[in-house]
Amino acid sequence: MSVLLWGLGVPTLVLIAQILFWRIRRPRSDNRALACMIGAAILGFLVMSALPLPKASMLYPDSFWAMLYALALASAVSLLYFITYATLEAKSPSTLIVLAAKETTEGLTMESVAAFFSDEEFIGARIEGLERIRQVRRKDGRLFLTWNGWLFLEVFVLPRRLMRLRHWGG
Amino acid sequence: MSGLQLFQHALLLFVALLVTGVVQIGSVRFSRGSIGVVASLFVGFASGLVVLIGGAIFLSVWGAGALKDNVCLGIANTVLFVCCWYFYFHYVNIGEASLRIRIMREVAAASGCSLKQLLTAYNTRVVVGARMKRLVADGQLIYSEGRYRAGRPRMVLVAKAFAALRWVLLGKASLF
Repeated sequence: MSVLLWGLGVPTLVLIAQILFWRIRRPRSDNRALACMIGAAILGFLVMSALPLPKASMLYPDSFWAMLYALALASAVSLLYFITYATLEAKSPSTLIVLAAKETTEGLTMESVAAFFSDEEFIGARIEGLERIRQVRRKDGRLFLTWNGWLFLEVFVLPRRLMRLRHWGG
Repeated sequence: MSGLQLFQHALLLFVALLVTGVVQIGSVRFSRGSIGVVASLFVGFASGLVVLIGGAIFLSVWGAGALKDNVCLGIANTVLFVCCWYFYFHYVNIGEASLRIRIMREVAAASGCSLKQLLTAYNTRVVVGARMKRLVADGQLIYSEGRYRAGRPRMVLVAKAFAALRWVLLGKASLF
């Protein structure tokens, strides 16, 4: 019971605190602010576990292992929420296409959908992002992968190798 | 709650996650394209969940510790399993759908290229074509008489859930 209470209680508290804070004023760097709130909540939980509080209560993790399990649960649920929040304002091309198809009765053509997007929005903005985080560098007008970029790419290409997928996705 | 009891549940979670990964990869690898990547992720999830729930029932009856604690740990394990699968879903799906990863693959394959060369190989038409092909294969778009119409509403439901979350957190439902 204590594992469930603390494992789900900590992320729930973070969510309530976030709604309250965001309603007052949304931080400029909201992903960083949310990460700090999650870190503070988990740290608070660890400090409470270390305090000499009466541990006879069934609502308190009664052993080191129970505390570790509660910590794993709280971290996993918080991380799940963080990932979801980080994609909340992302404009996925697939979602935009499906929503556009739902709005029309006569249907979409490939040309009408392609005209809705631009190379600058799809490709240009992403190359700028890759250069900013130093995964791609530009030299003499040509684009090259950096060591960081190559490593990042290998991590995400691994499952495709294991699945023996030949097409490149994207 | 004993250490042995927690160890049994942690081991069960590990086995369920292992089954999820093996079934997911195996279903794509051996189906020769008849099962798509997204569908395989759900097949893997279902397989792992069956193992997890079966194991939790087994541990509740024959495992160490009290029944009440085993039931609570079973629920906690299910939440942990869903979280881990969600992370895995995004990890695999990034390789499948991310534009950045595809751009990086194009740049790596050419051992360096100009923006013009990149746009010849990978541009808006290629992106839209690949997306629409996947959406048709997944049944979310229906293609007939040269036109694409709305199909299964799964992605629309996800978009609505995200809009609701945006409204709660940010006070606006729209993306624009």
